[in-house]
Amino acid sequence: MTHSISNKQAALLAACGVFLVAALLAGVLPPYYLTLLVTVGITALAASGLALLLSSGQVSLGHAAYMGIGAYGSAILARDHGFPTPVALLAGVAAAAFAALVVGSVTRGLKGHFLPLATLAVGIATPTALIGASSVTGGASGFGQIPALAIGPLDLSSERSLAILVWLLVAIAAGGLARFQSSRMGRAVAALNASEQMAQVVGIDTPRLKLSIFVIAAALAGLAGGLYAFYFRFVSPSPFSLPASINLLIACILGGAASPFGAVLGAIAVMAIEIFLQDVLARKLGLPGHVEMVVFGAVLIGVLLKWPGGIWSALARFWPSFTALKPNADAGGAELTPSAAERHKPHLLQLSGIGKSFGGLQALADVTFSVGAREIVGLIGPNGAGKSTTFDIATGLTQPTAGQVHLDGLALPAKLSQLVELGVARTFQHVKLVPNLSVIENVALGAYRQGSSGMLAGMAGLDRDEEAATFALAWRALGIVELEALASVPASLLTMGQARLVEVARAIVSRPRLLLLDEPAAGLRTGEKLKLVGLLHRLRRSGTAVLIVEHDMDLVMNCVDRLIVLNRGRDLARGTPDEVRADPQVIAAYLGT
Amino acid sequence: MPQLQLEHITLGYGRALVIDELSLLVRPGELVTILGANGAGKTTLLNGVAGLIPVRSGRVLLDGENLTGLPPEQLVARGVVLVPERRELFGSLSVETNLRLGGYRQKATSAKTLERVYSLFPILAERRAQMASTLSGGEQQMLALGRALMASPRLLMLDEPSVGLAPKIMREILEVISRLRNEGMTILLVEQNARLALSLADRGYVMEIGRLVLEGPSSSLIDDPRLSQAYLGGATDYAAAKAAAYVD
Amino acid sequence: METALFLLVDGITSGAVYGLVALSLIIVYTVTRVVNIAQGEYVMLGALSFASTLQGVFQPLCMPVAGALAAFVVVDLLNRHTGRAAKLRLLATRAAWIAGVLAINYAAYRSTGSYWLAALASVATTASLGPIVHRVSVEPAPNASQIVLLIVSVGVYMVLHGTAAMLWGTEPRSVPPVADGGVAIGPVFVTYQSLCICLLSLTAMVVLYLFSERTLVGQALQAVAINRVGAQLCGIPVRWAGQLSFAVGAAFSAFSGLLLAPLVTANYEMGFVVGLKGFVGAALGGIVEYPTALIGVGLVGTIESFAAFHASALRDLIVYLLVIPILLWRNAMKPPQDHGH
Repeated sequence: MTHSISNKQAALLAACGVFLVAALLAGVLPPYYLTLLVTVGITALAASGLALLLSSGQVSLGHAAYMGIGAYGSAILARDHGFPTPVALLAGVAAAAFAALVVGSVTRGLKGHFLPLATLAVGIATPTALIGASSVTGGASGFGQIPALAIGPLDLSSERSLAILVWLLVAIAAGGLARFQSSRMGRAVAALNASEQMAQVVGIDTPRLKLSIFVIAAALAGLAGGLYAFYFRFVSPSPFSLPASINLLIACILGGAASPFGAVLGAIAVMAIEIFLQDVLARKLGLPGHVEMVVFGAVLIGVLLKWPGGIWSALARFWPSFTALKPNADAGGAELTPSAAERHKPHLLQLSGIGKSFGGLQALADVTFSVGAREIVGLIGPNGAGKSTTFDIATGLTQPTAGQVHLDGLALPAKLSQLVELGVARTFQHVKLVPNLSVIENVALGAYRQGSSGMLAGMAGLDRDEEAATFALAWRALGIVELEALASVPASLLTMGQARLVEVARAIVSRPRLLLLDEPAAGLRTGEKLKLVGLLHRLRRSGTAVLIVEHDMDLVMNCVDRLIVLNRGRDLARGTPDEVRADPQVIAAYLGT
Repeated sequence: MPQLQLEHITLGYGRALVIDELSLLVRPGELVTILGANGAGKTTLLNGVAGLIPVRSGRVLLDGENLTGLPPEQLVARGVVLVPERRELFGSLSVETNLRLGGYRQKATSAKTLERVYSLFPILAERRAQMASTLSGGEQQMLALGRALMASPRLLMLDEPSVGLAPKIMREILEVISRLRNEGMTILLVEQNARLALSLADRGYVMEIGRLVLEGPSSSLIDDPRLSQAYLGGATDYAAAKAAAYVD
Repeated sequence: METALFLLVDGITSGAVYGLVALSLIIVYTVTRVVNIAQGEYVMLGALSFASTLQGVFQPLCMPVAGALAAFVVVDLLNRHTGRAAKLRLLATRAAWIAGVLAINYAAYRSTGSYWLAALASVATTASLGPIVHRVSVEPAPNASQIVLLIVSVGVYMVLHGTAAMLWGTEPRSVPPVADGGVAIGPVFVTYQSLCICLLSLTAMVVLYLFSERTLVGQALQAVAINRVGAQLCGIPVRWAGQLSFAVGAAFSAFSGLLLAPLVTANYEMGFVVGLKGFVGAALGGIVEYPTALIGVGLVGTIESFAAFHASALRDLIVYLLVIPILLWRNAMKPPQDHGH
């Protein structure tokens, strides 16, 4: 009987495997190779944090700086201030985390390529500062006589035991981060990478999440640095300088930043290639060291051009993909409709006198309408009429230059991420799904705000109940759009029509009382459109208010209660579909004069 | 002036299939318009012919020569020139530089063509040293058209030149297009404003969600009730789907 | 006061050189969106070529470059998609290119000690390396993300660095200054070398400016940087634009290497630090707008010079620590846009 394992179990197994192999090697390797083993372990630890950072869409071009802060921090506290070594190690980690908190907060607003440049500056300034503050740090030559690490009764002064500790931590980090990817916060990080706007729309506080991830990545680097100090019993600035940062990046990208195990693979690959080149080129062929550098560079270029996703992307098909078990049919309880109280609000969303100008161009002027519960309102108009702008203003993505938007009588919240809690959900004109997650995980994103499990819970597996409830909701939504068969398919493989319906499913998982759909029918086949119309009517029946922007007249005419027609940024006509269709002004607007 | 033939063209973005087995013909010196509501795929079609999107299957033939799969720069060299919907001008460069860049592949005749473009659009001559981003919408559209003409096109394609323009400027531009057609240029015009387009064109096609649903000389197309149906709906039957939502 | 002026002159001189490197980085980045970590290596290659040619050695880089170009010609001729006329044109232009590189290096070799021929040969050969690198490391993966292309450029750095060591060894080579002595300008004494560097750098920047703003080819490169789709619709070939931008970048970096060589001796490690400073300058000034980048590098050079004098240990630190506040200030003034490529 075949028994397939889930990807969380695979992560656990892989982590155990890594640890066991490393521990075995730590036991038998001669001293020179033992040092290499530890070096690879330290690199892998820092690289796995960097991989986490990259997977959230951020960059750190000077990451070794945080290793340096961790290393020097632990070393100085242990050697010069008598801190017990485990405390010193943790303090080093805290110092690195704190530095990242400061840097991350200060550079929060930097846009475009300024942010990577700032991280580069940190990566250069830190080792330079370490050299400069020579009275404390011993300058460019560093210092030694760092005491041995001793955790309680365990004496870890022997190099072998320290090597085992290092790889234990690598296994925990890699395994934990891999499991994290399949948890609520892991999905949030993937969403952040895919589209910051979409992440906010499902309720993720993106600035806070970005900063947290950055701090964690720095903390892991700090831990790696601290372990370096306690293993080599000597620190100097050069292992934490810019070339070291570049090395970390190489390990990460070559291995594959998509998975923490990729980063571990990368660290191993870099070392393996170096050893191989030294052995073959230098020893056997007697070629000078420069040839190694050339060959390494060539290998790096070749591998990345062939597999831009790194070594991991070439091996990923052997890794089990995410699957979520479908709950029993009679499990019930997963309701996706607004509560009874919400079902009778006539003016849930109100736009009054909305105007918008961009520079000198008046895109919208005096647009007024409202959407209430149990009705579907369509916003239509020819190309350039201002529908998208109006829609963005209604959902808080853009601010109007005149007029107001009210949701249930109150102004729209300041932060986009607060909208979903108020019961507002929307889809996008250009579908924004997370391409590397499966369909069911994408749908589960919609339930982000209904959960509360943090990162640790995700890694340790303490979120089982909450995940079960989340996925029950997701399955229900997927059932409503009739795409249950696609649950395990990666979102990147969907057709446009399927992707749109998945986005609708994600929207309804949050149990919205107001649903805003931006051209949901674009790219749909007739059968999918029929499904969509049926779905919208079911939602209407259960009390949801729906605002839909569409070009497909057939679809719109058949599912809305009333229409608002815009032309050249102004209200042109409104009424029932039949009224609007017969209106000569509307006909003129569409067909021209 | 050449003839454009599209044979069973299929293309799309990424995984989405937007145009499915579409065939059409533009005879030498004709002005053919493709009409249809937004989202029908008209822009995608033009982008495919211009080489910006790969054609998955089918052929693009210009006077019998197979142009399928050529990159945009080689298509421009062969006289297939597109004026895109978003104009894609070089905002921080001057009007004259924008025009000269349009003549990149026709360096020999560039100076003469420039004079011609200035005579067609006197306002561009007036503003020749100004930065393109400072021009009004209508002037930018004229610049986009002028830039396309600098490439000495044999087949000129225009993607919704009237969008966002005041009616008066729109008429000026369409007058120029009409003049070009009278001089014998083969033109493919995509428009949302059906009446305006049909008043200029010899023939028209109507597109709906990636397929051609109607075709004919402009005179008969203008009064065809199926034309307004394409814009204002009426083709698919949603009755059953609607009813099912209210059962149970 | 005298010291301050002296430091200012020193700062301006180094700033001018970093400025050329910054400009190279900017041209490459704006046209191809590649953050070229290997840019400094062209500085080193230019300097070493110059030094060795002056010493009477036949340009070691010449044969590898000619060989690579020839290999590309063969590959292009075997391409089924191009027509015969296009292939003949290709063969003619490439042959002329290869012949040119060989000829100029031969001429420089034969007239040992000719400053100008050596300079021309070094710049021409190093510049020819640019399109080769682009073809090998950028064109094969048009959809790779920027960070992957960055790491690929690190790979290029390694290849170039190792190759340089194999071709020239690791010993520094000295280069005689263009003229000895100097002149007193007011209270400060300025060497002819410094004057030369400043003047030539300025000339190079002016040439680059004229090229970008006044020639159709330069404007075409700008066009690709501003709006790639628009450029394609004008018939501008984007692949060629990428190769040209790499060539121009390599040329200017090599030229700055030539200018630096008499000051710091041509050495194998010079690329990294100079490249980094050019990078900082470009960042401070604006990696996309090169007039302001020049202010940026001027700043770098001057601060560096002053800081070196007053607190040498903290010199570099001050320069790099200033990057973040300056970035924050520039971000507030005018945040960089996403040039969607």
